[in-house]
Parts: sequence; structure tokens; C-alpha cells
Amino acid sequence: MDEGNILVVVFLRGGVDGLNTVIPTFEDRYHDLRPTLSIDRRKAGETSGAAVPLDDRWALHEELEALLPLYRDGTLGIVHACGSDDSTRSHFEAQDQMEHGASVKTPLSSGWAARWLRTREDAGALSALAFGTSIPESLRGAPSVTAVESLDEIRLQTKSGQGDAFADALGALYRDPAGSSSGRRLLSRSGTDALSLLRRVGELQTTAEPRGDYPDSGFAKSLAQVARLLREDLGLRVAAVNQGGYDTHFGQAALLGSNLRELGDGLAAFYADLGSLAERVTTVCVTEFGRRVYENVSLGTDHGRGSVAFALGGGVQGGRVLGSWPGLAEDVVERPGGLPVTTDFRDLLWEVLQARFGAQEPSAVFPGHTPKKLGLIG
Amino acid sequence: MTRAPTRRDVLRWGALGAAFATLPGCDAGVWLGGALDPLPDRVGLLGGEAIDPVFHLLSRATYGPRPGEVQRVKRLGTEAWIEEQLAPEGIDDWRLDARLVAQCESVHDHPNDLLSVPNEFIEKDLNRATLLRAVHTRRQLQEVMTGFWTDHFSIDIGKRGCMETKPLDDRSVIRKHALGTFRDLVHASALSPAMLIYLDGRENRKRTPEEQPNENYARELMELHTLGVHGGYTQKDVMEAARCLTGWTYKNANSVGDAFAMLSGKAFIDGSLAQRNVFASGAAVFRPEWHDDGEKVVMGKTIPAGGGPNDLDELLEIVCEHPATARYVCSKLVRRLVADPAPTALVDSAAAVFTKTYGDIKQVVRHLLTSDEFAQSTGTKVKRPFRFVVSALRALGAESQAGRPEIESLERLGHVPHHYPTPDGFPEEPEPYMGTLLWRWNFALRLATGQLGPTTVNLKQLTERCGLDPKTASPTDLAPLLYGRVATDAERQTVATYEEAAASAPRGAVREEGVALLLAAPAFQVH
Repeated sequence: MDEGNILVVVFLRGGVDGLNTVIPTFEDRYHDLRPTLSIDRRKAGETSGAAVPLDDRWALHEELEALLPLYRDGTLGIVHACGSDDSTRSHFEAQDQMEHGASVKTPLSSGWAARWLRTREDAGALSALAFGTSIPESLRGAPSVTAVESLDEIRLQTKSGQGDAFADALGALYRDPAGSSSGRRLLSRSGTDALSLLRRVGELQTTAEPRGDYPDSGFAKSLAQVARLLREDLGLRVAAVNQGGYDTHFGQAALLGSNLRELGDGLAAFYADLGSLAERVTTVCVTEFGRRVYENVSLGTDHGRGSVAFALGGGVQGGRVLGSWPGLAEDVVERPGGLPVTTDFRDLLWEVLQARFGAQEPSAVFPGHTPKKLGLIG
Repeated sequence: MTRAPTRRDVLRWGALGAAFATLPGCDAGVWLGGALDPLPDRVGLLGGEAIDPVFHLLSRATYGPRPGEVQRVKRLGTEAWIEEQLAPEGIDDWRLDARLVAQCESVHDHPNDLLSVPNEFIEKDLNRATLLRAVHTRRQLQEVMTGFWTDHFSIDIGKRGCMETKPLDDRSVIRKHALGTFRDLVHASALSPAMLIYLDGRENRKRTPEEQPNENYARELMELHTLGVHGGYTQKDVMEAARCLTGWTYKNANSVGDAFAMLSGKAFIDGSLAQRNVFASGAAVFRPEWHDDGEKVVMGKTIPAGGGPNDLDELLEIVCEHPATARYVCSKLVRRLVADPAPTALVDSAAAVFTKTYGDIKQVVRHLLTSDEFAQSTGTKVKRPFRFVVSALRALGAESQAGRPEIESLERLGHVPHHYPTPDGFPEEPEPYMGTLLWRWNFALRLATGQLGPTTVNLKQLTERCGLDPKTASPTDLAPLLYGRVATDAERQTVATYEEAAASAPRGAVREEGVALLLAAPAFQVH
């Protein structure tokens, strides 16, 4: 079941407007609440504009059209009204809570993916990678994690050419000193990880070039590097990738459209590139919260509650929009303007860990939470 | 003291003198007007095995000691030095100012003048100015505090419209009030064009009962700038605060009407604003027809209907005077300057000073730097990447050109100033930066071995000025400049082992790499 399976976690930062991403075209109130921002369903015979129908209820934002074939063949599944119980509606609180796999009742300070990796015996120097220049909260406390942009840059730039000896000297300096402060211990751990990564990459016989037809975006570049590392078979278990810019308080239509295009085109290129590896790679996309059901005065939407989540690839029994739909009635909406969360994001994440990696004990990853079966990942 | 030259003076000199030249094939002009920070003729080396207390003070209240600085502060006395730094206007910094005019012209310009300047030029100037100031200003404490408030009121210049307005925000909001009064700082920030753009305040209006205000800025004002997320406000308070702020907007001079309003010095708005000197700080304007002039209730306090632009002051009064703000701001200051996690007793006493002095930042900073907790916090904080880069340049007495090689290093380390993607600013805690240690090590190597483009260090001269013989001295003899103490036996042994292992390589390069090891070591990652 879990031989060489890989999890890619895409965090969509800023709070994705779920209602305009996967559109409830059957809701009259949706159009009433959003006189200018609501998106109509594409009519039969039309090939562009409006939203692409998924079934007789839901439609997909047109800029995600690259994902349509993946939805049709069951590679892509959608969960609507998904989210956390955060009520601060603060990006930072809500992102931290989600990345920590926490709830209001059970605040946590380490990342959920980090806790999961700690339960595994095979978590080595390359088991977790963050793409970009910083380590996301979901990997805080992981046995080992490095932030990389490309394999090519993982080397020591000595002038003497004595990189190995320099690495040995660093190894001695970074060895955990007795009675040291928490900062020094953190440095020891992180320095040792970086040296392991350096060694592993140095041992690679070949360096497969990035390939595939990726669009020109930082997000797509990260995915191209993930695909490249997967082909190298370095023992990667979790890759964390970010895509940002969803905080659409103002002029939402253009912003959301360009972000979704980057997301959809990037993911489609990634799965095309993975080829036969695709069956091993499960990708989940989550966001800290959705946006208000009604639009604001500057053609945008403010912070809301529930949003959408996506799951793609290995094990996903997709082609469906899951999650209990709460509706948009005034007495249902969580004031002000929040789409109620009917699926806890941890249920989706746990289902991936259980089905794809044989995780057994939810309390080790999501303490205080009893996951409910969603039936999306098999 | 001689009068500091004005920008005009400097430009005149530039035309007369040719202190500055642009070399072909070089992204930066190279400054030919003499070293900004020449090494002292004689550099004293600390001889203790524990980190020296003055070195510690300089490691927090500045971007790290330059060679000879510890000895200067010891001569002056730490209290006198703190007072000197708390009055930055009295510190002569004309060499740096002249260089900033020559090399970073656009940071001095008004947003309207920057509309015609390509964004990449503005960005390059701002990056370079920020790095040059951190490395070379003599007003170090002001710069450290500017860095703190830049994070606190974080603006990502990647957002459209922020690039041409951030230079004004940097000098007229952040730098101007960095050691001033918190209330003035928040007020200036609220009306800063860059902030009005960044957090959508300029879009916040309520012209009809149906319109919903844009609450982006109101939320971050409460959550990030003043009260803190657990500061006791509710969603309803955020919405009420957003109502108070409706009507405050900003437009650049792209539209004819706005340009006319600015040229004539008059607003197309309420006349009282001109008196409040809003235009002097940029071009924030109040549009009464966009303002929700009804009664508001924020955190239990009523702001009566009809307040118009004064609702802003009422709102800022409520949030700035709230006890949660004193605690939140002081706990952040303690984490930055003293210890993380913040000792509760110190946050309490600092918050008391904050409250008693109506948010006098100088007094709070003085309180923190002279506290017992500060003295006990030696070497406990992990440097963030920007501080690592700057403190390395300073420790070796480098003459920074702040060009592409340094900026590239900051990019790879995930810490280019003004580029944090979300309004909470770069994190204070070290964990998020721990994935890029490899790139700190490479920066150390590039700096010590002369691979940083036009930015150079003269290790031979530095060694001589320290009274050592460059032929026989070990790189570890320079440890006091980097660590505030002599090298440990283990450090000496590690460097010696490296020199032996690398004996087949040219001796000069291996020596330089010995210094790089000291910069790459954990002991230089903390302060």
C-alpha cells in the first residue's frame, strides 16, 4: 500500500473564495448575494466564458478548465464547505491552526505533517522538503526538513574545491553541544539535516533535468522540482508547496482568475509530467478559510469560513463534489457571511494518511480529533 | 558639529567632483568617494572566554559590532552610548547620506515622481538603501528599530501600487517615528499611501446602506498593529472599525483631477485636512461622500454620529490606549530585543513604561536595553537571515556595495526586506528560517573568499590592524570580532583539522575558508 507513496500538500494562501471556484449554480441566493461577482454556468454549445459545468449542480471556474479532464477521469475530487473551526478569521491564526492540524479546543504548536513523519521509522534526511525559501508550519518539528528551490543549488561554494572537508568541519561545529540553549539545539538539528541532504545529493549518480510542459510560474516550477525529485527516488514522503494571492478583498474577479489559472495549469502539467508515477503521488490543496458569501463594495470579498479543498492522484476516487452542502440561507450562514464548515479539513488529511500510508493512530497526528470517513481516498 | 549636507549639496558636489562612477558591466555604481567605514588603525581584540557584555549590547541594539566598535563604546560608557543612539538626529551620518543620494536616488522621491520610474529601479534602490543603511549607518539603533517597525507594519512591495509608495512610507512613517511615539506611528501608517493601497483602505467606502465596507485594514490594524489577535476585540468590532475608516483614500497623480488637487495644494475634500498636513505626508485624502457618518461602537466605546474624518482619531485613540496594545507591542519588542519567548515580568514592566509615557518608544527601548533580563540574554537569540548577512559584513569590516550578490543571497535565504507576502511581516522565531542554513554557509564562503562581486573584505589588513601577523595567525584568532569572546579549543581544533585536510589547496584560500567556517558556525548564528 505505501511503498514509495508521496504526499504533496499545496497550501493556497490568503483564503480561497470557494463559492467562485467551485460554483453552486443551483443556489439562487448565490446570485442575489453577489450581484456583480457571481459567475454563471456555461451554456450548452458555448466553449469559453462562464463556469464549466461538472454536473447538474456544480460548475468549475473557467480558469481551472485544465483540471476538467482530471475530474472527468476520476483523478480529481472536490470537497466543498471544508475548513477548520477557527473563528478569528485571521489569516495567520487560521493558517497556523490548519497547518498545525489543530482546532480551537486543541491548540498545537507543531505541524500535522511533522507529527505524522515522526510516527514513521523511515523518515530520513530527504523525507520532507519545503519548496521555496522557508519552512511552512505544517512541517514544523519534522524529523528533517530543508527548504529548496532546485537540486542544482545544493552544494558548498568553496574556493579551494575542498567541499567535503568543509562539510566535515561544519559537522563538527554543528554537533549538539552539551547544556546548550534551545536556539543552539535547533541549529544543531537543522545543520545536521542540511549536511545529510548535501551528502545525499552529492551521491546522486545522475541528475535528471526538469522536463514536462510546465507553465511559467513559481508554483509550476516548484511542482516541476517535486516531479524531478520523485524520479530520483530519494525517499521523499512529503513535499510542501505554496500558492498565494487569494486574499481578494478588492477586484476579486481578475485576481482569483489568474491565481486559479496558475493553480490549474500547474497541477495539470505536474500530473502529465508524472506519467506512470502519478499513481504514487497524492496531492491535496487546502486554504485557511473561504470568503464571505456576499461581495463587498470594492468588488471583492472579505474573510469568511468554509471553502473548497481538492485531492488529486494516487488513491483518489474523484469525479465528484463531496461534503454536505449547507446552503446559503440567511439562518444557515455563520455571521458575518461565513459558509458553514461541514467537513473538517483533518478528515480529508487523515483519509490520505490512512489510505495511502497505512497510518493507524489518528491521535498521534490529530490529537483530540476523531476523523469522520469521507470516502474520497481509497 | 558641522552642518550635515543637504541632498542638493551632495548633488552639486557630485557634478563638480566625480566621486561616483558607473562601471560598464556592473549593475551597481561603484562608490569612489572613499570608504564609508574605514578600519580603525588599531583594532582591539576581546580576550575573555565568555561573551563580552558590550559585545552583547551591540549585537542587539545594532546590526552587530564592526571592528573597534566595542572598544569605542567601552571608552564612551554604555549609558552614554545608548543615549547617543536614542537621539539619532544628533549623529552625523553624512557619508552614508551622500552615498544614498548617489546610489539610491529614488528612495528620496515622492510617489508621484516615481510613477514614471520602472518598478525594478525603485526596488533595486530600496533594497540597496536598506542594506547599505543596516551595514553602514552610524544611527544603528534607529535602523534596528526601523527594521522592527517595518515588520510590524509590513508592506509587500510586490503588490501593485506599493512599490512607488513604500519609499515614502519608509522615510515618513517608519524611519521618522521609529524612536518616536507609537500613536504618531500608527496614525502616520493609517494615512500612508502605501498602507492605504496594501491593505485596501483606499477602497473602503460606504456610499449607500447596501454597501459593505472593505475591512481588510481595520482587521489588521487591530490584529497586527495594535491590540493583537487575542486583544479582546470581536468580529463586530472589526466591522465597526472599518466603518470609522470609510472615506479615507489615496489616488496617485495619474488622474487629472487628483493632480490638480495636489498641485493647487487643496483637497477636493474637507478643508480641515489641509491644516492637518495630510498632504505633507503624501496624498491621503478624505472623501466625505464615501464615509459612513453614523454612530459606531468599538470595543464598548461609542463614537457619535457626524464625526467625519475625526472618526479615525477616535478609533486610533481607542485601540492605542487599550491595555492590550501596550502588552502586545511590548511583548513583540521584548522578543526582538531581549529574549524569545518573552519573559513575562519584563513585558509587564515595559508595558507599564509604555502606558505611563503614552507610548514613548525611546523610553521603552531604554528600559529594555538596561534591564536585568537583557544582561542575562547573551547569545540566546538565533539571528534571522538579514541580520546574519549584515552582521557578517560588519564583523569583518566589509565595505558593502549592496549589489546583486548580496541581494541574491537574501533572496535565497528568504529574507529580502519589504518582500514578506503577508501583512504579519517576517516571523520573529527562528524555525521558518532553518531550512536555508546551507545558503548561510555559502554566503560565509563567498564573503570570506571574495566572491561577492564588488563587496570586499580585506582580511590581511584586518588581521594586521588587530596586531597579528597575517603569515602566522590562525583564522580563529579573529573569533573575538565575530563571537565577542576568544575561540574555544573545539573551534580551534576544527579549523586546524580543516586546514590540514585541505592542505593540497592554495593556502590563502584555505585561510579565508577558515574565517568562513567561523561565520558559518552555530556561534555566529546566535546573538
